[in-house]
Amino acid sequence: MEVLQLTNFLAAAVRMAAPLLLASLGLVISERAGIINIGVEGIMLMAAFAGYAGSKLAGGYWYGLMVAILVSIAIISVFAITTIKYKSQQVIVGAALNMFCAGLSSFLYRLIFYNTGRFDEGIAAASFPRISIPVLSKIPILGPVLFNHNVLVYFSFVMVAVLWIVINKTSLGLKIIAAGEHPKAADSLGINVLHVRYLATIFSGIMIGIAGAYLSIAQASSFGEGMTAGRGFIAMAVVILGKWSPIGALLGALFFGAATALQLLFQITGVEVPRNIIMMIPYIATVVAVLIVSRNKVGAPSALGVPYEKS
Amino acid sequence: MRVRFKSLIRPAIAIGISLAIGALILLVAGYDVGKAFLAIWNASFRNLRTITTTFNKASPLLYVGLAVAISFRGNVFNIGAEGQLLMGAVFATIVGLYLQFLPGFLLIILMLLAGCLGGALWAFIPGYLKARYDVSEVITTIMFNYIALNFIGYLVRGPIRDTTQAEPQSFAIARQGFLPSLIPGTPLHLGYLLGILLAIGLFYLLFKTYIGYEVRAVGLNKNAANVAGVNVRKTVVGTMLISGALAGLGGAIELANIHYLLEGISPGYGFTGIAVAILANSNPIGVIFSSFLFGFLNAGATSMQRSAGVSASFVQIFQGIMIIAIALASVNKTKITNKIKKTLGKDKNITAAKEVE
Repeated sequence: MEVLQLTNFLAAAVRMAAPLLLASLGLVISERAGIINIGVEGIMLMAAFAGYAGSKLAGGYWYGLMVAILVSIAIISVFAITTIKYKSQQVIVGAALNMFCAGLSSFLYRLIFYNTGRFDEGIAAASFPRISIPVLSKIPILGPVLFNHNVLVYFSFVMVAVLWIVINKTSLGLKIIAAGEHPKAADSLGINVLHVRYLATIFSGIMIGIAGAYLSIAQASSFGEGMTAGRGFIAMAVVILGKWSPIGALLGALFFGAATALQLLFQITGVEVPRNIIMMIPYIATVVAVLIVSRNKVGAPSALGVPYEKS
Repeated sequence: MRVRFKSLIRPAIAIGISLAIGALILLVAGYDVGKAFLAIWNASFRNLRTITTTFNKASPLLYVGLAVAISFRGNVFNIGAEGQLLMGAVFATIVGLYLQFLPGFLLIILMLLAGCLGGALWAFIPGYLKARYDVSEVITTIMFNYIALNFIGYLVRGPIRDTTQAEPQSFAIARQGFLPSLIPGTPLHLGYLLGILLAIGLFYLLFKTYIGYEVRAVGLNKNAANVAGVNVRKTVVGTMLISGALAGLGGAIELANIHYLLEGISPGYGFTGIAVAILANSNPIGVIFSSFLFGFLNAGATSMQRSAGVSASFVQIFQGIMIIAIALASVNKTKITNKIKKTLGKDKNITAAKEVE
């Protein structure tokens, strides 16, 4: 019984970690290139809606995922153009996008699904099924914890490795790091800083889109207004906690996944702690984690949040 | 005078652009745009009652707008005005519930002071972490919003829940703690007038005192301010304290206006405050007008939902577009550089320090 509970808890932690990991992997790349995007919260929410709408209306979760990615790219392009080309304050544009997306997702959800009574056949949209990996999923504890998830979870694991290689072993990775650490030097070496930043931001848009779709059509099969509930912001904290590396992001996401799963554990086991107090845990953990990391003085990319202007 | 007029052009263009995009979205979604906009207008400007209701709705926005404005002037991104407002409301509730024996004016004053304290405290922690350990205030203030919201959820479901109500909410505060109306029989309350006075005071503080100079100097260029002898850390914490106190005060006033605490006491005022401050170019006097504009929109949102069927969340879409429009309109690097020179440049050391950099 004890082992089963532990296994369930760890499996839940991985499930909760996946959307954070997907989004934070995107942010690792864009922040490494020097872009800080607090709009991730809103974009993820909008992608969650788009994923649901796509899956529900087109009748399939792959369509949902595609729509989520496209919508996410469209919105993050607005962010990219205003902050990279026109050099607006990244935090302010990000905050604006959060409002815009929160409003738009509610607006469209009510417009398309509420007002038209489209729920005749139920709210649920087609969602990514769980795929047990043969053999591996039979390993005790490790099997159910790691190898009994939907395909997006596996994808997030694979992306950790892919991005680690891109950052550490390729010239593209060098360009990204240079654009975020020392854009001027990068420029003098013939790297087009603005192009690199555009690319990195669009890539983060793809990952944020997948993370959003995960919430609505993998973890759940429906959309709820404001359903991200701060996960986008926590993904930003994961990046800091993971010291801007993909593997760090994996560990950070698992940490927050566990913090969130802890809520479930409390609720299931019926420990007498008020729900709202338990719900504070991930947010308090975020503050503590960010504090600990910053005390260790590991550097964020030097030019993070600073627009680059050729002189 | 010409300069003053010029500074109005950008916000006007931004409002125009957002109105046009907003109308386009409604049109595409198949709504009657004229009807929707008329509903917004009518919600405020039908009679004395509706216009005073709009002032009432603008009140919390005025406070959080000022809070965000001063933080932006100091280049501190206080995204946590929402949480600070909530904590202000919590502290005021506690005073209003447990000091029932006090006479009216004293109770109100104490509630407002408690609100300032709650907000300042909630802003102090992120401010201190930023100043001392260089922890990004963006992340911490956002997290503090969620913590405050859950704290209220805990309070109104547990210790101070009024069990006679179906929805979780606190007991009502003592009757003498209710905010008095400015015009009897209307929802325009004393808190709004106080907000206007504070805006004027804050303008004076920012632009006519040494403290304000310090805040702006740190906001424009930390290193140069440091060279000029400004204690940057202290100023950052101080900016956050003032900002948080203002937001907390707004929360206390809102609480004294609606009389009891509930989870939905703020429908995102703190975030709208960002739009309010940006539209006003972080000028406290401008905040008076921009907060009215957003109060007007918020008041209209409900009525638009009722009479034209447009979801009230449309206002959020509109706010987002407006901030981006203004952010785009106010990009002008040379102007910022000139401003730095104007504020600090009289001291030769600073100019030198800047060149070294």
